[in-house]
Amino acid sequence: MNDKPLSRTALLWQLLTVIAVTLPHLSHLPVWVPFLVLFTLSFRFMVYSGRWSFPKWWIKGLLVLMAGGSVLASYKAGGGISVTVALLIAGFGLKMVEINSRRDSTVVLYVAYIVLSTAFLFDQSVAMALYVIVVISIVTSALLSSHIDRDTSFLEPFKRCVIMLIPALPLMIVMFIGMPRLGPMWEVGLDKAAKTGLSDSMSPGDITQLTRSAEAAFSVRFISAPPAQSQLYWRSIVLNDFDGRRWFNQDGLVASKRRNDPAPQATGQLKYEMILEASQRNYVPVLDYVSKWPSDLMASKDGTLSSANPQTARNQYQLTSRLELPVSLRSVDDNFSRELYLPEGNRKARDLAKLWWDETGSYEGFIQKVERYFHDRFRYSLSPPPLGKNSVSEFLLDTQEGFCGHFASATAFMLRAVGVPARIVTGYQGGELNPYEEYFLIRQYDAHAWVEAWLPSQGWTRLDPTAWVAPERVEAPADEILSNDTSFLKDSPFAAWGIANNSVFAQLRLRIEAFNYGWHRWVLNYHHQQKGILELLLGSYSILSIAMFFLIPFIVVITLTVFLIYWPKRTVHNNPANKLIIRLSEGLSRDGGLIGAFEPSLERMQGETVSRYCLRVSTMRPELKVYLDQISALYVNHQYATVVGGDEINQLSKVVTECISAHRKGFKKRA
Amino acid sequence: MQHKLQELIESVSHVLYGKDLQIQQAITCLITGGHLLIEDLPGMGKTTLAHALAKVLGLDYQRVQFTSDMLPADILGVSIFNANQSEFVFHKGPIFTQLLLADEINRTTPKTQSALLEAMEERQVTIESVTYALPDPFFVIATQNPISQYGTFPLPESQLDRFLMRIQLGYPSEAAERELLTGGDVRQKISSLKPCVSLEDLSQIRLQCSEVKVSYSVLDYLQRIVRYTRESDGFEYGISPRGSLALLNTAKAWAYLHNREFVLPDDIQMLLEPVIAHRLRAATVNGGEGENPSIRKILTEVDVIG
Repeated sequence: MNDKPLSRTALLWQLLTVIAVTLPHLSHLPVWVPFLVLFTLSFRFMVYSGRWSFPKWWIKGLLVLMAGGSVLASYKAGGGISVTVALLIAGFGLKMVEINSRRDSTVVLYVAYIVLSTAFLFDQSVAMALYVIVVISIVTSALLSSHIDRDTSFLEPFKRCVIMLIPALPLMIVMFIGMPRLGPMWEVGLDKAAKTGLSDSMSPGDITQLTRSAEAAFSVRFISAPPAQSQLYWRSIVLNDFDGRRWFNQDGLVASKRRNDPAPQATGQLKYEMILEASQRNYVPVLDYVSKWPSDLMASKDGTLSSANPQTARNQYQLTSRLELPVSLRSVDDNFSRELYLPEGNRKARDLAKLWWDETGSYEGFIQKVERYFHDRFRYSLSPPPLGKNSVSEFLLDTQEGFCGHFASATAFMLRAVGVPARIVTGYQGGELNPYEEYFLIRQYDAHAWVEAWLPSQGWTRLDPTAWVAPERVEAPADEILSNDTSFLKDSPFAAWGIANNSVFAQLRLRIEAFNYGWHRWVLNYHHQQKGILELLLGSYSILSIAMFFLIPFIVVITLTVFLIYWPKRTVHNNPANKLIIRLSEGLSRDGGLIGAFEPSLERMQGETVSRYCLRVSTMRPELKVYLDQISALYVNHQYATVVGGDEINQLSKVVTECISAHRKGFKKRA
Repeated sequence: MQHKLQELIESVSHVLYGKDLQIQQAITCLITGGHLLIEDLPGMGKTTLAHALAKVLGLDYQRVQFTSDMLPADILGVSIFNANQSEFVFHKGPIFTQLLLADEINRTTPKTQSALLEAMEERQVTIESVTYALPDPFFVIATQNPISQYGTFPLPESQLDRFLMRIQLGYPSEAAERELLTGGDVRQKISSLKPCVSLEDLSQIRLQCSEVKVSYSVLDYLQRIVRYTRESDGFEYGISPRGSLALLNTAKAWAYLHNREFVLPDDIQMLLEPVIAHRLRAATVNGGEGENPSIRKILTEVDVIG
């Protein structure tokens, strides 16, 4: 049975399945894999059309060796999960050349489900989810078509499959809502593809690249009222060390572990929910200054937050921040050797700082002096001229043109030159509020760098020299200012169009983004909401209520399906005599079943003729024989004898009523 | 006229004990004008029934024992050269009779089988381009062993369809068997049977049978059965129009036999198995031989009223 050759329809569905399942992988598969699949498909098609024959064993062997070698080569060249998927698809494609029987086909189709699900490793968008649902119905159709023996039209398996899958949809939703989520049991090593994100070090020039990317970095929904745009400083990395040109952090991720505040202040707490895109890095941007964080994240004493493993997938966090510097970040057990260290070079800048320090004599005065200098002479630009060996001096005195990195770097240098501990903080500033879903979307072009200076009276104080030069850069969303700059988003003109113009397209883009945000929040990161939703739906949270939650929909769906399958078999009785017989049968059987479970039913069976039925009942209930004989005769006369009497129906109706009431009386007596 | 038929049944049941239902079915078949196939194991009384029927119907009859080396000419007849008159003279075979007992029809080769069956359908025989009409009435009562026996050539479906009914006798009941064991010589009893009906009676009976009324309700039921066999997955193929016509005509005869002027669904149910079981084949499972079509399933699943 299993070795029956596939029908024409089944084969066509099979080919369609392979194409549909491979399509979403095109973007990340090694180039040769789609070609291999295409080749095997056409080979199989040629076999089907009778022009070629099935390949010989050595051709198959050669193909396997070649495919295996190529996969190995791709793996050596450095590739993560996509190589594994490539191996799966290659094997899957190769199997196509020898598919002939139902058993082969079943194997390939089961693998097709797996290949299809791996598409979610690379893309979890709404479009992909819809596509996968469509392809599931294609694979299922192929599976069905391989089990239909007679010749069918091409679309028939699909129709059947849709009829089968529709009752499964409500069950899918129930399972989605109620099934407990297991934590990942292993880490999937996704490809270490070059993703945009903040780098661990900064030398002016790096962030120019970043500015051009409109890719989302993370999105934030404030549970309380959101703070002003100019307060939104998202801290990612603190760079303590400077080598004369480059700022970096030699401690790596966590310098020293920070503990929770001993007495957190109740006021001013900002609770928010963050969906962080996969960045392949450990840091988690937080609104300055974070006061509460999930236990799986580590906080360090410089106010940053990081995860134990790189962020390989989109994650969701519940965080709380306060805008004021918390006590735990204010205490100092440090001599600031790193925050004060300046290597040789940049002599002119150092001299200038010393001069101003002598002129002003106080921290505040010195900072004001620097601020005025920047404000009066400098210009914000995304494409500044390149800087030479003494980068800080050249920037301060000659070019006087740059972006956040340049300003922050120069300011921190000046502060250190006069003995004020200073460090650079990189992260993101601002964000775009989506009016439809009320959340902030922070993109890679919102990346920012600012300075923190240690003032003995206040502790670490945030100084944003970019705001001195171009205050609108901080007060308004980045796109409104940057869009005037020609180099902004020049790599992705399409995105720039939607972002730059406050047009229908911008509206549409915001709508789409809001929809995607909802998708992430409610579908992909549903496990964060699950407990709340279940409590909302079930009230209390007991084993019984959960069991009911699963069982009731299953029972309802299965009952409905069974009912729908058997419904057409019930015939509608239009004939008055037949209706009376049905009434009789129902009337007699209603009480009869209760008397004894071993007694045969008094209900008429489908294949039982009326006269035989009456005979049977009168042997079981002799007291009804009088009526039943009449009923039998009247019915037979009316239905079969074709004698035009006319009054049989009335008589029949009378006798049936009498018979039922006699039966009831007898029943009561016996009971 | 019905009393004559009752008498007829009575006489046959003196020879074949405890098989009243089968006797009634066989008579129904013959008064409808169809050929009868009796299928059972050897020694169950097939030939006895056939003989008795021939006797009581008062028809002139011939008996042919089929063997594997038989040729069509052995049944149909043969032209022999007459030296005196210098010409071929046709010698009629045993088929030229009113009632032919074809014993063990599945023991002979398909060639001979088809010669007989063709004659059954056409009611004429053509030999060397001369057509000879067969007598009227012309009945064939064939007996056969179940095909699983050795040395048999099963009749193909197309030829089974020529028989109006196929009946099975089955083992007798205890009481019937006792009667058989204590009773006298069966052969003698058969030869002592007297014809109960004349040829005129037979043709009148056939005329009256066709006047039995069939209501639309019964026709609906019959058509529901036919549709069920055609649409259900349980059968390889459904009942042919010839089959449904056969069911209708035999039901009329059955109603007539039971002194009724109209057909009841019960009549159809009684005749369903002998009339259609040999015209159906159950759907094959796993590519193997189809099992006996489940007539019981038709009886329970097709609603009588509706």
